Amino acid sequence: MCCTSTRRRTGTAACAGLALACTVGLTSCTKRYPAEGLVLRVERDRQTVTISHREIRGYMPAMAMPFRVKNAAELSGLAPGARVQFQIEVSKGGAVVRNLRAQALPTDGVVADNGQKLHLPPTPKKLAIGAAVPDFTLTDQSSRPVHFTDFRGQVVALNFVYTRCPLPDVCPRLCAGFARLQKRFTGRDLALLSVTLDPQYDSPEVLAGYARIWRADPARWHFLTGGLEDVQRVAGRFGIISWPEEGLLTHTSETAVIARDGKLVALIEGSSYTADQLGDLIALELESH
Amino acid sequence: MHRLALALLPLLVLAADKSGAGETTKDLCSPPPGLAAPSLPARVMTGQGRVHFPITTINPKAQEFFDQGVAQMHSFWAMEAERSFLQAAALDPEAPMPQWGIAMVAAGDYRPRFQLAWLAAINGQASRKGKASRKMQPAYPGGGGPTRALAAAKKALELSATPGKATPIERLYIAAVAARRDPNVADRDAAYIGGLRAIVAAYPHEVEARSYLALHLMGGFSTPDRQPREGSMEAVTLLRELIVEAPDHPGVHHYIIHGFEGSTFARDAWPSCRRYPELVTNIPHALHMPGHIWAQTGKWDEAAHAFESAAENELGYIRADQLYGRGHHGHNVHFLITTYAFQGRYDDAVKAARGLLAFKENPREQADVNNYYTAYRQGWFGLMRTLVSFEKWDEILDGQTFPVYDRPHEQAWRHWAMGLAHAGKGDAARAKSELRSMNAALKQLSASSPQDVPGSLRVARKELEGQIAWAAHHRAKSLAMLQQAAHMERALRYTEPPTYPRPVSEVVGRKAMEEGHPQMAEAAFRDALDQFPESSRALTGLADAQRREGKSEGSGF
Repeated sequence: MCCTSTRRRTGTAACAGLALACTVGLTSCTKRYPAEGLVLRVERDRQTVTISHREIRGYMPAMAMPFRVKNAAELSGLAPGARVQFQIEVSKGGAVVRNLRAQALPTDGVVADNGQKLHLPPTPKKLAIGAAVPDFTLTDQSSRPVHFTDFRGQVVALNFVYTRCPLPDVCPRLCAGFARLQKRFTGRDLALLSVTLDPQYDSPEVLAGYARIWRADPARWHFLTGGLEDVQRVAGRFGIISWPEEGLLTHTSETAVIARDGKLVALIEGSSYTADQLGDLIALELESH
Repeated sequence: MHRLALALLPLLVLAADKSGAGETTKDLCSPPPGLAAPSLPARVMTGQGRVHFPITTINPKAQEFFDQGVAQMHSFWAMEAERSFLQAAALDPEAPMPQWGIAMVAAGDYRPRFQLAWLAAINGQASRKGKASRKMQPAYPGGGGPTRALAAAKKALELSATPGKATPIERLYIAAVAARRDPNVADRDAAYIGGLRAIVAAYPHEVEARSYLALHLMGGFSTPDRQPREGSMEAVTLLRELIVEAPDHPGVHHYIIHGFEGSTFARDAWPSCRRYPELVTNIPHALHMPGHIWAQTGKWDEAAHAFESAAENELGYIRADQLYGRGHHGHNVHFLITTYAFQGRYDDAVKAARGLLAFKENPREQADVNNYYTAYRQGWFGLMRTLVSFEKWDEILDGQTFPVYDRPHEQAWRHWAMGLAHAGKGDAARAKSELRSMNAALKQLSASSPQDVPGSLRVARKELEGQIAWAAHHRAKSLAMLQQAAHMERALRYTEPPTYPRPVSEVVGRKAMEEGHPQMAEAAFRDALDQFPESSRALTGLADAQRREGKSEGSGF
């Protein structure tokens, strides 16, 4: 057996060392490691993707790093923010990514949920990556009107939550992630926007109480509410689908990262990504200009 | 822990990847409805009914919220009752009785025994057909989580074991609900009833326990003979005693309405129909329930008033909070539509139906072909019921008035209504074509549903066959078939509003008149009036038949 992964290695050096071991003939094998992560950057000309991945058991801890992709076609349609599953193939030729697959909604909008096939409505107004985010005006937890254009020149992270959410792994998790970002990027030009999906209940006063739970700095992290139609218009631009049921809102989750020029950089679907992954994406954007 | 686990349930994307890579996952904040506990604190609400159920607690506010929870439970407002009990538990975490309250309501099965039996029968059909019963939805939304109920029962038992934290009678209450929730108990209903009987044996004047017992004993009444099923008369006896001892107890009045509905003595519930909405002014179900009795005893004006009041009250909640469920509103307004139809108020019925059609279904509701109880679908059925009742054949066929809802159950009914319309206009061939389409929809329904085809649709098919025979001028055969359909309809299980759009006996009566058989017509209209006293169409028909027979109006009635 070769390429044993019993010794814990960390970081890029570990990866490179393992590849080197294979290269110099100490071993002659190919080993594959299943992995998942969040796409930070796609460089098609270099056939490279930068991924903030979770721990790759037996190979490396969670980190952000660029990978060469074996099959260039797998980069087709891939954009920052995509959540991907892949394999890292390590051989004497080095480490490459293969079987790169992004999670995505099916084009027909049919999803399975608790034994039912749900037909999700289309989101025709969802913004494409790279598109300019249209201005909108909502009200924050301090009852101040907030215009999206107020944040021009800052990187913006935006998510959708509601304060009555009874599920710890959805809205509270998203807010916990933003709380970590607030701490990680103290002093940086990052604005955090959390738009409620339940504006009827989530008044500025309610949002102010909720913001206190998360120790949100009102100058940097704005919880936004407004008229139901206004909120739904904003949510629709980011592909949010939601509907009320008894005692809860069922909704999809999207977290947007928006560049300083107001263009959409990335959309992350769901809530089960890690705060570090989102932070890596933002860090890249903060450093990009 | 349960809620956390639910939150982690992934949405599996079907056919997400045409390359064959298989299923991928998607995050969707999507627990099954009713499985999430109320997330907001309770507040003291007005108009919930006054009940005082003293418990062992160190905190008077906990007692206040506990009493509110009991009052809400008595009007089947499970979500708010659980919220009140949770609040009481938060105010006095060591008190066992708030946990008892959660155990009583969170499973969504605090309702009359005959309703539970009906649901069990449907689920039994599902299991007989070997299909997943998870598709089943409760008849009314707001079911709640059995897991929470079980956890609360265990907690109540645990807390009550601490000396000084529970009185002997509280321990008996807790034991009763714990038996009902215990998965290791073979017959949990019997164990629950046994627990309640133990309380009543030790405390013969305990109003609360006797009212719960009555609710869980009432087996309803058979159709069409209205004979009591097991437990029903014991429940009636209990309730007749209780109303004397506790004349202002909201639960007792509520259970009298449920306990007497469908019986030969439904009129005996009239005093409760008047008193209950006076005692509970701000719970839609409390305003709605008297309508059940009013409708089946021919008090259509009173029924309409009850349903209108409930609708107004419930719309207030719906407008105030998008997370307020709409299923009960659908049921209430559907009954209002039915009432208008019996009153002969076509325009009002159509307007009410269109009001329900404005509640568009969400993707989960759309996905459940067996859930006929969404507000939209009840509005759709109510509109069809109205159009058929008033024989609006042109409107049924114009392709505008009556929207298509492309689900097997609704398609079967739509083809039925269109078949009636063609037959009513004398076009037997087109009516036959609709019958074939109805049969195809029924086949699809049977294949796609874990339940048997509803009995009302079997009646409908028979009626349509009779109507086609009439259009084809086979009058005697038609009348025989229609009479058979009427007989089948009378044997349908008791539900409110009735699952059949309008009494077939009315049709038999009109056809018999047309064919020159006034005696047959009189019998048919009497049958219709026995089902729905004071129905305007049946009264008119009866009067016509009697005139034709040379009798004075109302003779012998």
